[in-house]
Amino acid sequence: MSNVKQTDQGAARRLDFICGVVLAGLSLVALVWVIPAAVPGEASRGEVAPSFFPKLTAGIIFICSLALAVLNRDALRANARIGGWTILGEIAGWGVLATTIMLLLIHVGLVPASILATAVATVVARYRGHWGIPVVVAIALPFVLRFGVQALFSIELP
Amino acid sequence: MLDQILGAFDAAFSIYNLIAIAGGITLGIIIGAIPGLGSTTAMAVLIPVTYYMTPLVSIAFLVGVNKGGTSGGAIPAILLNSPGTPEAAATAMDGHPMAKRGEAKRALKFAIFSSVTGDTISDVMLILLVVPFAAIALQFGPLEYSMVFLFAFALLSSITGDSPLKGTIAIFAGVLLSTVGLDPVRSTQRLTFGEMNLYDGLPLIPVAIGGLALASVLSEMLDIGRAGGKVAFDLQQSKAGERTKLPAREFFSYWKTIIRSSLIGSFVGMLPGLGVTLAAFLSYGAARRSSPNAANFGKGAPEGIIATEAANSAVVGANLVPTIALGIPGNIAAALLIGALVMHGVVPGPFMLQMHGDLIYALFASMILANFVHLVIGRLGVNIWVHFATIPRGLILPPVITLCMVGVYLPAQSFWHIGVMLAFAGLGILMIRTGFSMVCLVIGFLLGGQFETSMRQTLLLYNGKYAEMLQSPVALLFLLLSVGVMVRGFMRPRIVK
Repeated sequence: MSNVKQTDQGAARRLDFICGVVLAGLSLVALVWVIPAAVPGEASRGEVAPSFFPKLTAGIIFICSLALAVLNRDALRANARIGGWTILGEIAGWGVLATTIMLLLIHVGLVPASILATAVATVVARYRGHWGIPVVVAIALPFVLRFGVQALFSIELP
Repeated sequence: MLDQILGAFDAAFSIYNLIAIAGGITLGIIIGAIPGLGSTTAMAVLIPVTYYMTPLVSIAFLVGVNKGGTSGGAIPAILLNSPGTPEAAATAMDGHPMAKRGEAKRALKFAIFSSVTGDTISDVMLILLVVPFAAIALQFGPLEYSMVFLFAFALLSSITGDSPLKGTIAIFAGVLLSTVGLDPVRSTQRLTFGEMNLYDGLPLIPVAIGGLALASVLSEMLDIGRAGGKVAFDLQQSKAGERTKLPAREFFSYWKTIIRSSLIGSFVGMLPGLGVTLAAFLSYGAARRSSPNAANFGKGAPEGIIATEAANSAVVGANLVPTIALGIPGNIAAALLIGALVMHGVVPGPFMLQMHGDLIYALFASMILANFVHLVIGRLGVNIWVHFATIPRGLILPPVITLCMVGVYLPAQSFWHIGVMLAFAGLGILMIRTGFSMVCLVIGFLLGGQFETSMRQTLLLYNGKYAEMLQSPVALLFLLLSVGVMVRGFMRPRIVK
């Protein structure tokens, strides 16, 4: 965990600088392109335009992100590791697992989606005890939940 | 009034309500005792289940989970030196040394008694203060409300997370997400991109469960995995011949610490954004400063346990004061309670007492009742809870993904909701890793709709006459407080996790 959790002031500030730049870019895109395209309607007499509030909040995010980047600009020179690839790897890994879970859930059902999710999570957490227990938990849990939800709420899980 | 109170106790003593309270407290203690989970996760996962309960039973159940979860964190803190919840970290400082010298059961009893006493004092304060607060809030117009929201945001951003700028970004990202859906005035589509599922906006419960519960569990699993799956425990169990008894007289001999800590917890709980952890550490510091045995703190002083547990449990009741009176959650547990209330068609805010007075009084009665149930269950289960605290996290955390999926699917029976939850879990991991507060985002998302409505009404009412806005003393006070809090937030030293 030492390479991801920022224990070093320089690394944390460098990460803040990068976050500030990325968020300022994203909020600028939202301000000039996404919101005007996705929020129709101009302000009529005595009324506030529907796009006013989204633009206001995106504007505040833009200003704060820019300030975050500017306040931490000197951290760029710091030679600290920020663990950016680890963070992106974690998000990408979760993205792949979440997409697979959704596809299994929609096309096959809860049981395989749940078994996959529990199995992958147990491997990621590097469970060190007897492996029979997580295998039983992974297989039994979706069946128990299916039965329980059917009996308690009369709802058929997918 | 008397009829209402009698009716409230009648409703609170119903068998379903008692079962819900006892079940909630038991589940809360068990989940709170498992390091890595905690009461917020427990509440988030269990909210969808309450969809099929009556509003009173569901809220009483969730309050029970919150009460049990908050005190449950003390069990691994005392026995394993591994706090189940962040706020229990201060409990470990004196609880574990006490357990090490052979007084594990006494330490657990100090924790449970303090927790219940602090909780009861805070519940009494809630009952006494909520009506006057709501009466004041009823006098507020849109301008005053806008400024109260601004103050809540300022307080939240300056306290939560490692920088006020990052807190502000997270809050307004939440507010921006709350604008997705139909415009509240013209009903035109905003940021829906033609997706039918987005017409009603992003669903609150999947956003909260994904961003708070699932993200923190996933992050915890990744951390354990990176540490090689090893979690070091220093289990201190009861041995024959050790001191186990804690007479009531001895406990109440610390009455000054109990009252001071309960008041600190209640005050912190009433202010939006200040969490349970802050209350615990503030109270621990105050107890240490005023104790004649200050040198014993950190070496197993019972006052250390009392100060922490009474304060963190006192937050539970007090955070309902702004929740019920203003519709502004005191912390994330209160935000989740608002989510549950909204799911049952009850909108928190000053009108709640007028429109759902019976429910509120029954909730108060249930909270008082829950404290007695908490005392009995907590006391009787002292020997049992330790077993939950020692279950390997690598075994207990993975099934939470399935529980979250089923929990989110139940109320709407929609795959869309599961998709939103999984997406916000990814966003939550990203925010945890980069030091942005997901709590800020969720509270911004929760309050965004009301904030927008108040702001738009204010702009229409004053129609560009900004000087007139400064004539409202309440609005001016909250504006100045917001500025003061933000300035103070910027001046405090940076916290590096």
